Amino acid sequence: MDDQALQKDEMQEIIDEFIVESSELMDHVIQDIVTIEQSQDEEMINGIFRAVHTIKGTSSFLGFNTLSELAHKAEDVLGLVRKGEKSIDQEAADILLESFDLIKMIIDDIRSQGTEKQNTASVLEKLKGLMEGKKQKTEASITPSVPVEEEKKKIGEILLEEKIITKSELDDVLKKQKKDKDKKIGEIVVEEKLVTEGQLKNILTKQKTANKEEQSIRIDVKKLDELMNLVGELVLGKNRLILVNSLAKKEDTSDVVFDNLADITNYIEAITNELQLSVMRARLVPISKVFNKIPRMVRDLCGEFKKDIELKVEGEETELDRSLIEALVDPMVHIIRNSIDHGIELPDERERKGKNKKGLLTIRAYNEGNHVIIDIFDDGKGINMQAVKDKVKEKGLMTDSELASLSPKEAMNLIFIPGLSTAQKVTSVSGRGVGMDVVKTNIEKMNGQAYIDSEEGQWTKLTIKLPLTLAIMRALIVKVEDELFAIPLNTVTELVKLKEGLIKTVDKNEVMVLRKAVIPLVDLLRTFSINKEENKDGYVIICNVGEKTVGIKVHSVVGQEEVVIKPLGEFLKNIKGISGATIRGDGKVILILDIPSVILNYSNQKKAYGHLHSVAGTAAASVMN
Amino acid sequence: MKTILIVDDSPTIRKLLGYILKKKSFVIAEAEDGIDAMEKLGHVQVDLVIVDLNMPNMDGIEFVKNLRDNYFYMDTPVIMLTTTKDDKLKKDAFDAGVNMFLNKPVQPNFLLYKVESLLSEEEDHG
Repeated sequence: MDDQALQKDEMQEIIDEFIVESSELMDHVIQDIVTIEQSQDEEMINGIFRAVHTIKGTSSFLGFNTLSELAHKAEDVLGLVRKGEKSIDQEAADILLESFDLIKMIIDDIRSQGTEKQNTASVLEKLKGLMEGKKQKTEASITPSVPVEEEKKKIGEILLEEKIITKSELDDVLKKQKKDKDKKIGEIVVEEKLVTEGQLKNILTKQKTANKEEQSIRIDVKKLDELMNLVGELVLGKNRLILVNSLAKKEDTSDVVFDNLADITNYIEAITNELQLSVMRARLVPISKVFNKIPRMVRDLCGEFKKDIELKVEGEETELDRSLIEALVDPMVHIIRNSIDHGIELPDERERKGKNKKGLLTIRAYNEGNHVIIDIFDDGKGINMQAVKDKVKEKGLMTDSELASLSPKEAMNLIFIPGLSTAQKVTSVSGRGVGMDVVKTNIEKMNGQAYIDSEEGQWTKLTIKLPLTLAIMRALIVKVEDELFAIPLNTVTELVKLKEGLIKTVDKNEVMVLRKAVIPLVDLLRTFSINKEENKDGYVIICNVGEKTVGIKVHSVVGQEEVVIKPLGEFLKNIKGISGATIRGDGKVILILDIPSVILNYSNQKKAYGHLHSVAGTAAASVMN
Repeated sequence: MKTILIVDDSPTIRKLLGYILKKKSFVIAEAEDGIDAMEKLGHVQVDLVIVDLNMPNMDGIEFVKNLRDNYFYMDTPVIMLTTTKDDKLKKDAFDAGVNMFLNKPVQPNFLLYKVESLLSEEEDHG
């Protein structure tokens, strides 16, 4: 490409456009190939051909020769398919998908580094083989396209940026690594006690996300986010007006002013509500963005695990906030992988059990009020509850009596316990468990909930419940001493007025009995180290997250409000138990409680008191005996 | 001021060609396939067309045939810009009535030169 003819920024703009266009084309093509493998469709083949053709043409224009050559060879194969001289069988689909994956990788390279870095030789060879009708040896194709260079941010760099270790410490670690080449930096820093394992985990996820660049849909997201922010401010203004209005009403002065004020309040309230809704809608993206990737994934996993599975996807048009869509991909991948790997049995085994040879995997999304529900259902072997319980006992996470007191559902959801999943052994026994705690944590980060239900030998259903949007939510404002806190209303199930004798102590922990259920209590005074004497009256807010129920002791309840969630900023963002802050009508900043982490914190607290059997995340269960 | 219509299904190519042509202050119109282009021609006066061959809905050759059927565009210069090197398609394109057949990728200055010379030929005739 003649650079003189175009200025640098113009060129960059064109390349950006190219990246967006070709990524979209590739995503479509990959889906279409999977469809075509099942049933040949001429129009679809033409579409695939055209897309690859376009990429070939454009990339040659921009001087991306590796990409162009790869697209060219794929186009040749597709040309034969189009003329009906070749059909897309599994082998052809495998090779084509491999080359499209490679094209995507090259596009990613161009996005992140501006150059092509992938080695295409082996894929080109396979495409050539396909042209000549040769049979490919499958063994030869294990991992043919290894990225030439890992361009992830190095852990050391991140640790430095986060000011967790100093430069000299990092140099020491790097020296050590040179001596002991097999060790990862992460392992060394943990050994050297420079960071804790928890910190390392955080960093590792950061490293992953740093690499994932903001994919753009056609709308400029920044603009949308700005709008969302503005609307947030507007909602705050509305709150303020409402407050002024109610204040003004109390004093008997000029009626006219107040009438006007009331008018304005109504007006602004209506407008902001509308604005908020429409902007929120603009941010919503159909969940098909995630779902579209599933057929391809299931296809590949079926090959990998030798399973035969019929996939049903429903409700692709269900809409969800954009930020949630992105965060949803990893947990979904994990869950589906689990279902295929450990849930659904091999075809022979299914036949022996009298099941349909073909396994069924259903993924369904739908709206329920202000929430989106995603069900992932498989008719595999289900969860062996006893195996899960045994594992929990073996790990020393709970005692016999604790386990015995669990309801079947609670027992099922034990698979989400962090300590359990790392064992990995549970997979071979019960068929589930690898990294389920990660799934749950990720979903709870999105203010969502995850739970599992199953019938052993028959089916498993994992349900994800997500809020439509993250930025604005309804909250219950409560008062602890003189401090106000907001509790997300979606977790609150009921309020109980405290009476003398309602609170009992079990194992030195406060609990209360509500309709025969024992509910552990969290005292915010203690959680946030507020030094005040305990109060005897007030309320208990009963909160429910997944299968866990806790009561939160507060002094008084102020009321319900729509709050705009503001992040706490760099310094304060990792405080346990707090998910953000909001500004009230009178301009005061109040903190929003993060209920899942309050529960977790509470259980950790108990551990610290020396109760060996207390379990992170199952506070409810541990006091049931 | 001369107007040039770019017909290509790839927005990247349209943008790229647009930037090249704007250097010589041409006015640019864009269409994403043959049908879209026919519509644009209905309300924009166009002096030259650059068209891709392989496009959805209506491909380049089909489009040129339609264009030549239209009284107003019988003589409008058409450059076909495509990756195809197929001789038969090239012949089909000339039969349909394109004035010039260029292969992608094209050097910007070369394209500008061709565009200008086609346009000046047109002026000489008129």
